[in-house]
Amino acid sequence: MLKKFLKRRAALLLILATVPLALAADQQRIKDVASQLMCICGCNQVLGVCNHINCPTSGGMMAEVEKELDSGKSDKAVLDHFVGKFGLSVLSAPPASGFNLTAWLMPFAALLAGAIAAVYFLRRFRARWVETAPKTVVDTAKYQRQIEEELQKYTPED
Amino acid sequence: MAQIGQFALALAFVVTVYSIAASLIGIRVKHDKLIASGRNAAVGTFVCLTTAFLCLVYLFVVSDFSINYVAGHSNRDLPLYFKISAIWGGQEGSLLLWGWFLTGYAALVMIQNWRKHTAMMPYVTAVLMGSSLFFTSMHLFIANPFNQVVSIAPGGARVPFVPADGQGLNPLLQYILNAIHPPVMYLGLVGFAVPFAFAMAAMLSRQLGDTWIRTTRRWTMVAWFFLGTAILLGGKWAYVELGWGGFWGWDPVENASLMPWLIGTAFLHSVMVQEKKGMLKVWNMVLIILAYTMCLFGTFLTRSGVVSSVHAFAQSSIGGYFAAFIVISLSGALYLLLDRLPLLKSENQMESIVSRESSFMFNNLILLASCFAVFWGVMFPVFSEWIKGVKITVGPPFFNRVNVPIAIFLMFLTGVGPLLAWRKASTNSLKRNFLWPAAFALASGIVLFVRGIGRPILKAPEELGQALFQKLLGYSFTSSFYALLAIMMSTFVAVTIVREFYKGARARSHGTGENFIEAVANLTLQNTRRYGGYIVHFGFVLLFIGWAGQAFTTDVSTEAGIGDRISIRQYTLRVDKLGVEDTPNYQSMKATVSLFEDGVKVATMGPERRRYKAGEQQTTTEVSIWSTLKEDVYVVFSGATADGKRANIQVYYNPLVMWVWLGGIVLGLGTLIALLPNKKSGPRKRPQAADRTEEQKDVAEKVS
Repeated sequence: MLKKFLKRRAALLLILATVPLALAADQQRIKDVASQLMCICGCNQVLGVCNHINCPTSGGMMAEVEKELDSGKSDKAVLDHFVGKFGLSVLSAPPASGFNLTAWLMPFAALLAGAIAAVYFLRRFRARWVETAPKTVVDTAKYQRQIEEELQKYTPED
Repeated sequence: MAQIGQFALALAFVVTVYSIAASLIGIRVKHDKLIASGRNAAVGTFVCLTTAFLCLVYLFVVSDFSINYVAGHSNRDLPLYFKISAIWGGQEGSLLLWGWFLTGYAALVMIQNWRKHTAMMPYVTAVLMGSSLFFTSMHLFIANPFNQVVSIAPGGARVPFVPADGQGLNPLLQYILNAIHPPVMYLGLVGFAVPFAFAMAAMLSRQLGDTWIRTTRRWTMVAWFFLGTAILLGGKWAYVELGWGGFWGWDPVENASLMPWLIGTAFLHSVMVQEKKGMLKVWNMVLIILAYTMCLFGTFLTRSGVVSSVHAFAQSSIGGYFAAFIVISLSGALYLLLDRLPLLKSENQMESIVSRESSFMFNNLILLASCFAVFWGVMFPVFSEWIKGVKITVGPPFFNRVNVPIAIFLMFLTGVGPLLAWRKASTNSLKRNFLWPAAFALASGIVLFVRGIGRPILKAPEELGQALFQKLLGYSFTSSFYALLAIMMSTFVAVTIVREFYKGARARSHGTGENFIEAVANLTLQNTRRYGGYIVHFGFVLLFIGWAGQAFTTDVSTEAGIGDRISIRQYTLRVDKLGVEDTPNYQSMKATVSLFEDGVKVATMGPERRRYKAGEQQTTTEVSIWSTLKEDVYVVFSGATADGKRANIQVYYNPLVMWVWLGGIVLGLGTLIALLPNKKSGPRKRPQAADRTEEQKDVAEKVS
């Protein structure tokens, strides 16, 4: 009997201990969703950080995020709810689909194109160097020794 | 006084036109006196705009509200220093400041270089005065700061009118760092006009060696220094004044100043390749044209209202004029570049892909990619509206996700570049140079990962039922993992920098008999550009670490009565008092809050909420910050309840923010060192042969 009581007690304590964690997780979820939305008051700030005094919209929007999440909707469904209400501009970043996909891809496409161009030019420069480099083998040991000697005298300078 | 200012503006316009005409005709007819007269006229423009600017200062100081601009941006009870900073608090004054700085730079360039580059200087005059003509026209015809306040009388007549008091300065601008932020920003943006003018002059005069680069190296660094400082000052302002707990929000205006800075950084690196190897001549021209264009584009963005921004107070109708000026400048510069392409051939070829030259090329690539990502993000809403008719937002999540990986890779290259020798790096030197930095970076990563930083690595997409491509795109690294990578890269770069100083100083002390500290100091002062550059890189390391800390910010928002406690991490805050303060400029509601760290009181904080009395009686938050090397406790008081007994308090726990500001100071210090002329070396002691070190062997390879 005592064992059963203790077990129940432990189970109750465990549940009570996890309640703040669950609340914290919900708060985190609200913040995550709010970071994906813009405040529509015209302040041009993300909903989660819009805290300017007397903002007519951020408080209401935050409460709506909380209410929608509490109703059991997924994060995406909540975002869709806001898009349905205010249009695509309420999202803090463009969705990765359709025309808006170009927003995400273009910077990396430009980087890739730049990298290809850089490698092409480097190879071309190198090919020209191979063509124009002296063909005879020069004994550099003498110069290397001279450099070593000079370096003993002088400090390293670029 | 307004009439004198008005006359000075008109005279500046005439003298600018004369300066351009005299310089160009003088070149054409090879008339030295005419050319010299054009130069003198350029200096004269500066004198005229100085007069106009001082007149405006006087009008603000005496609160002459008969002048429209003064009445719109100042009021009687504004403290004197804000009355002066109010001069650039609006469109007309800030444009005048820009134009004044431009002619100031032009006058300095004339005085400094006139006897040095006789073929190039008349063109430099013409190009600088060409830019100046745009601004003097704006001052005189479009945004005149000396226009009078008028009221419309019955019958439609416009009669002069003097309001009893002014509208006041925007309260968000009543912060001392923000008072100096705009002038520093303009010194940076305008500064790029000098290397741009020399680049154009080099092409026009067909003097396409590296003279223009050597002449403008310091000018470029000064512009870059001011621009970087202004960006940091802006960040500090946003942090302290906007009250949202962060210092960088990827606002279009922040981005507008970041873009020329990124290109300027690329330019500062790639000019070294031209100086050392006679390569990348076309590329350097492209970079300086882009940098100057981005300076103008940034101003266009701020003032046109083409994108929405927190800087809405700077918007006006002058965007169109700026757009036209950008198109004219850019097309003229590009035409000239295309025309002179055959004269811009490289003098040397690339010997190896593993070399400092190639690392600079990749550094340029990454900086430009980063700039493009920012540009694309800023302009995408405009493109979307044009093409699809749909208004969308591109906010911080986009910029973070696209730019953070690019920035981490750039940090990696910052470490790699100095480790590679010019021409070709051998495998041995690569092993020798990379071993310790890589080992330290890895060790720091392991330690942090074991302590939980960087976990989880990936964030899964929420909708797993999407198409494969979208699903893959949906996966992203967590901010904690990016922070881990950032700290690893920072460690890598920091170790490379420390090693460079250590190797150099040790080799020097062997050669000269100096002690280690003396050797470090003399090493730096005898090669200021190289070692100043390393200090700049170290500043970036600190900045990066501070930025990485942002992945771990947390906040709590609550309503608290007197005596109530708020906990965040190891800190507890207790509300002690709620009070009201009245000054001539504003009325303030203030909370007195005690801060305890692990139960011990460490500070008394005083966040405020202010209502400014002038104009529209705007309200602002004045945050209170407890700052340590480890973290900031950032307290916002957004007001009391109606009965005045409870306070709405928001507390942010922001790790490592101080590293950002320290990084900025180190960065500035490094730039100042790099600007110093090299100290001449004194007599040295001959070292013993047995004292040769690994460092000397490594230096031997780099020098060869």
